[in-house]
Amino acid sequence: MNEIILRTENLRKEFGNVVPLKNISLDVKRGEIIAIIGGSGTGKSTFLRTLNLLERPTAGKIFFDGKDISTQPPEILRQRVGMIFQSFNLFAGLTLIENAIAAPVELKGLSKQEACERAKKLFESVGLDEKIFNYPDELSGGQQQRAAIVRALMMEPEILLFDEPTSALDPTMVGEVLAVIRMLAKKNLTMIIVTHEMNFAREIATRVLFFADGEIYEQGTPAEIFDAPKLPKTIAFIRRQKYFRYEISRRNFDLPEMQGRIQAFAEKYGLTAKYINRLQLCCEEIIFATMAGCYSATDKISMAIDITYVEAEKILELALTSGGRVYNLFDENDDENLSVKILRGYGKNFRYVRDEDLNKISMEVVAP
Amino acid sequence: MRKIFLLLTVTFLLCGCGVEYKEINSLDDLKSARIGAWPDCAYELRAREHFPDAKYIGLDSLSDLVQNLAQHKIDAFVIGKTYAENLRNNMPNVKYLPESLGDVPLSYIFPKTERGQKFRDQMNEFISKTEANGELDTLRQKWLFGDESGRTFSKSNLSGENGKLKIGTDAQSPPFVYLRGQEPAGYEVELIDKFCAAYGYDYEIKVDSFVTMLADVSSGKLDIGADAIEILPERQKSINFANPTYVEQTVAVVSVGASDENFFAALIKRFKVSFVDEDRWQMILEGTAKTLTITIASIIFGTALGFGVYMLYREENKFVNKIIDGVYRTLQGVPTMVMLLFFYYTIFGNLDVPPIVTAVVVFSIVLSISVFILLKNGADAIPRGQTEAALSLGFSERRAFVKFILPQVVRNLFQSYQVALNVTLLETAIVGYISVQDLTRTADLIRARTYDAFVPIIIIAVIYLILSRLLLFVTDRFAEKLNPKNRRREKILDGVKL
Repeated sequence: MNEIILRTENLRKEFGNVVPLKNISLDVKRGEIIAIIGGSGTGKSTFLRTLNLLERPTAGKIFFDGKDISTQPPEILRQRVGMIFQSFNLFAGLTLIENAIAAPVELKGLSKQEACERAKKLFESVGLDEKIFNYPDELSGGQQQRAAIVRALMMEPEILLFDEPTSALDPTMVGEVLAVIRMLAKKNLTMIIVTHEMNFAREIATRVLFFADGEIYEQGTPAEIFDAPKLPKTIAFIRRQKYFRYEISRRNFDLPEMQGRIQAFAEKYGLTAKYINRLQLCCEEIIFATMAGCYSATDKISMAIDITYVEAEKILELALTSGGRVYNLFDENDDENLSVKILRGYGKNFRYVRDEDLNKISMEVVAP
Repeated sequence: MRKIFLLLTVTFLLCGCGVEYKEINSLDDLKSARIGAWPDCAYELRAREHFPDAKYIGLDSLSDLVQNLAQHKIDAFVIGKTYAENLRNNMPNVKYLPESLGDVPLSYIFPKTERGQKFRDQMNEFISKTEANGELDTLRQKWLFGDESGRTFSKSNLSGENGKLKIGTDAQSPPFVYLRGQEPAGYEVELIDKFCAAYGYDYEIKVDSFVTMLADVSSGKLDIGADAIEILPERQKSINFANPTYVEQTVAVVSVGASDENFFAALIKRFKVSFVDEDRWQMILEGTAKTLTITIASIIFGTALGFGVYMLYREENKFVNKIIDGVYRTLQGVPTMVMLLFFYYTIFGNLDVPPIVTAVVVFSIVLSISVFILLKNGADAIPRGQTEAALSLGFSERRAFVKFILPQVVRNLFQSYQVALNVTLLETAIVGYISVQDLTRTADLIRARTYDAFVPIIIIAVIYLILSRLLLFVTDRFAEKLNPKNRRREKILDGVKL
C-alpha cells in the first residue's frame, strides 16, 4: 500500500521568461488523495498538466510506476493517467455514451458491446443513465463534468488528475460533482485534485500541498494545513484576509468617493446592504470624531482608514491611523459624544495604541 | 428563381428596343460615322485611307460587329466582301455598300521556325500549282461564290506518312473557316485538306480564340494558323505568311433598318437558330458536360489536395509550413485566369497535357487554397480543450484531430465550403482561354455562327443557374448527414444491446 506510483524530481517548467513551475519534487503513494491549493498563477494547474505531459517539463524527471516517462511515448502514459478538466471538454457532436466508449474501444481494443455495458454502469453510478444518448450541449455543467469523470474512468486509470473540476460550475452544481469525487475517494483510487473548495479538500484529502510561486510552499495533513498553518503565506491564504485602505489629507476630503469605494469593496465579498450601511456610517463617525480630537482647525491633516475582512471567519475590522495630538476617541463618554455612542452600538473589541507619534484605534463592526 | 427569369425578360425587352440611328446609304455618309472593325485589321487601314475623320471602334469578332450594328452602337463596319455577302444572305437586317475600299490579301500563317518555314514553302508551292491548274478557282467558286447548299466537306482519308500538322483557327470566318455543325469547314480548310493529301500529312484542327491562336502559332505550338488572316507587315515580325490564297475587297456593312417582324416571333426564331438549328443543343450539351467534368474533378482533387496540405501543415514542421504559407499566399494574389494561362503556356507548355487536364489542375489548386484556409480557421475555432481531453485519454494528436475535431470543423464550415464549390463551378467559365470547349466557349462559338450574342448567353446563364442549384442540392444532402443529431439511436448503438 505504500508503493510509490508517481514521483517527480526537480520538475521545472518555463514559458519564455515566465517560470510557473520552479522546482517540484513529490512522491505520491498508491491510494493517496492529494489536494493542491494556492492562489492563482502559482503553478498548480501547470504542475498537473506536466504529470501527463500536456506540458513538457523544461527540466526534471517524472517517474510513473518506477519508470522514467520520458523514455516512452506519452500516449502509453496517458492511457494509465486520467484527467478531468475545469471546462469538461466533452467531445461535441458525440453522445455521452460515445464520449465514454471512444477511447477504450479504439485504444484498448475493447468490444463495443463490452464498452457500452461498462459505460452504462458507470453512468448509472453517477446518476446519468437517463442521459447517455444526450449530447454535451444538452446538459448542465454539473452533468457534463460527471460525464467527463465517467469518460476518464472508462480507461481504468491508475491515477486521476482533477484540474479545478468545479471552478467553471454554477454554485448549485458544485455539490453533485464533489459527491462523485467523494464516491471515487472511497474506492481507494489515487487522485491529485487542484481545487479552490477548501472544505472539500479538508474533508477528502490525505495530504494537502500549498503552492506558492511555483513551489510546494508547505504541505501536511488537512489538519496541519487548515488548522495550524506554519508559514506566513499559508496563513494569509487560509485566513483569506481582504484589505481596503483610504488616505485622508484634507479636512474637506471627498467623502462620497470614499463611501463609494467602501461600497464596492464590501459588495465584492458579499456583505449585505445593511451591513455595508453600518460600515459606512462607522467610517464616517470615526473619521470626523478623531479629526476633531486630534487636530485643531489650522493643522495639516494626515489620516488613513483600513478595513479588513477575514472571509473565513467573517470578521470585519475597521482601523484608523491618525497623527496630531494624543487622543483616544473611546475614552469619551457615550452620553456626551454622539459618534462614540453610535460606534459602541455597532461594534466591539475597541482598541487604542499610541505608536511613534501615531494614534491607532480599531474596532470590529458587527453584522446587523 | 422566378425573379431571375423576370429580370432576364426585362433585359431581353430592353435589348430589343432600337435606338435612333443614322441611315447610311452612300460612302459619303461614312465620313464622320462610327465605324466598327476588328482591332488593327487591314480592312480598317483601308477604310482610314478613305475616311480619316471617322471614329473607329475595335470589336473582336464578326458577331460583335453584327450585334453592335444591330443595336446602333456603330453606324457601319468594314470587312471583307466575302464575309459581307455571306452576312447579307443570312441576316435580313444588313446590307453592304458595293464600292470597294481597297484590296486585302489573305493567307495562312506559320511559325518562324525551321519546321514552320518548310511548311510555308511547301504551301507556297502548292498554291502556285493549284492556281495554275484551276483547282484553286474551283474551290473559290464552291466556297466563296456558291451558296450554302453546295458547300459540303468531309475530311479526306489521309495516310499521314510525313507526320501530323496542328492547325489552329477561331472558326469564326465564314465561309473561309467556320463550324458546320461541330466540324470545321470552309475554303481554307478544304485547301489544307488537299495540301495534306498532296504532301503526305495528316492534320488536326484546334478551335481557339484568334489571339490565342496567334500566340500558339508564333510560339510554334501550332504548325499553321488558318483564319483568312490579312497579310499585315506588323504581323510578319513574329510569324510568316504564305502567298495569298485569296485577295479580298474591303466593303462597308450597314444596317437596313428594323424589320416588320413581330417581336416575339423574331425571338422564337432566334431561339430556334441558337438552340435547334444544326443540332446546336448537342454542342450545348457537350459544353455542359465539359463544364461539369472540370467542376467535379476539381472539387474532388481540390478538396483532397487542400486536406492533404492541411494535414501536412499540422505536423508543425517549421520549414514545411513556411513553404506552404508562402506558396498559398502567392497563389492567392494571382487571378485564376492568369494562373490558367501560366500553367498552359509555361509549366505544361512543352508537355503534351490536354488543356482540360490543365484546367482541372488549376481549379483544384485554387479550391485547395479555400479548403486549406477553411480547415485551418475552422480547427483553430474549436476549443483546444477537446484535443487535450483526447490526448489525456491516450489518443495521438493526429487521431484526436481526425476523430473528434475534424467532424466539427466540417460541420461548422460546410456552408462556406459550398460557396467555394459554387465559385469553382462559375469560375470554370474562363477555360475557353486555353481552348477547352466548355459551356461559355460553346456560347461564343454559337454567337460567332449566328451573329446573335444575346440568346446563347441567356441559354448558358440559365444552364449555369441550374447547375449551381443542382450543386447546392446535392451538397445539402451531405450537410444533413453531417448533423450528428439527425442520427437515430439504433445508428449510434450500431448493433450493441443495452
